Amino acid sequence: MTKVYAIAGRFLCVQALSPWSARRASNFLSDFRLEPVADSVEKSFYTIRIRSEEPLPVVARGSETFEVAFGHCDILRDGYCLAVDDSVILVGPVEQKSLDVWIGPTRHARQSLSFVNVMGYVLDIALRRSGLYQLHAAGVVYPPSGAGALLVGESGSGKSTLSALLASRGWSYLTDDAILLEQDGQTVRARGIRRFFAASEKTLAACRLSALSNALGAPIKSDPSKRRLEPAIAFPGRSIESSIPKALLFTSITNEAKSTLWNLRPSEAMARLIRSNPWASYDKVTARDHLRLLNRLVNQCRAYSIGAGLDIVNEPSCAEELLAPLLDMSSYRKNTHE
Amino acid sequence: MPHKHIVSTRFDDGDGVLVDLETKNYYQLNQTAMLVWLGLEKGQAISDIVTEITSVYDVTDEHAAASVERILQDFRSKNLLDG
Repeated sequence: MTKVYAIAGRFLCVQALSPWSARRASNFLSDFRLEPVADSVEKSFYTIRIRSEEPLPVVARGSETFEVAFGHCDILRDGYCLAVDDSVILVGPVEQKSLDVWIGPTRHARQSLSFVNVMGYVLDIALRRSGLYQLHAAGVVYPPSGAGALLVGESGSGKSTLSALLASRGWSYLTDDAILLEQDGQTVRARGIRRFFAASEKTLAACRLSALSNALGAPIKSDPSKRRLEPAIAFPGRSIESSIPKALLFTSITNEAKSTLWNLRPSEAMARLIRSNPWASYDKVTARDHLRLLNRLVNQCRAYSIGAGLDIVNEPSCAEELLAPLLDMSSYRKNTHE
Repeated sequence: MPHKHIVSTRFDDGDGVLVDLETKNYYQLNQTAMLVWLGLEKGQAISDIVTEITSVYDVTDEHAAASVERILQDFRSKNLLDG
């Protein structure tokens, strides 16, 4: 199976070399805002080849090895090799514009969650090599001003709850978890890449959605404590394709009664972005461009740390009251390049 | 001179962050340290960097020179400089 997908003006070619990998890859990619396009193989900027019926390649040990989530990475002379969940991803030299995946023969490698973990890396690498950089963040837009905010934090930090609460109050959204950043002239533009929200019981209770039963799906494989939420059903008409972020909000959950909010210096915001994006420095081919893009993002945004307290889930308007003043452009004094 | 594998990022308030692509370490720099680093990147002589600092801040030459030397020692201890 060969399919070409379009995202932000780039074309990714996915060649699945077995029926099993074709089915799995197609299912995985359907959860992302990658649009299948016909007759565009020649336009492809980056190619992904997936094998599931061939033995794993023997890769010489790299000059440097380090641990990554679910496996490890070897830096090779011309590229690098990831061993993740009993599968192998081989990223070639930059001029090849391709990577190869071997799904391992073990039962563990063939489990759905393992395949998701491998493809998560694969998609991240292909996008990064195409000049699109993922950020583990939610994206929302304040309708009165059109100003965008990125809610940055690790899993369980409240991004989904905050973005769902704001969407339920009429804010527009990009995503609850996976943002794609790209250079757009002198500014950084953000897009949502994942189609669905991942909602915990707390999020669902806080949002008090009337269309909830129609919007809810199965538990998320990578985090069974959360369920799939279709935002197009839960928050109809509020999805937007992209925005120019004006605020970076680093989220965490506290058990305090009241939420807290304080300013962050730009250098602290950059440090937090680097910590949450280790691949910004791991992938040496793209590191300079990636870090400079994050630099530009910090310079075009105000940065804050949010400690989300119990008031956020107990009072639906609280999140909006906390964040709206930050995105009210009449009081926004920062120079932008828009 | 800075090592080629160090990426510098600078912010509107004058602070900066350096990222060492070899070790994956990163370092937050205040305005003064960032001025020194940028001077090194441009290949400026230490005396010129000191002069720039005295032009930006209301300090004596001796104070500026001592600050620059402290910052350079810090950079060397973190293996950010080549030679």
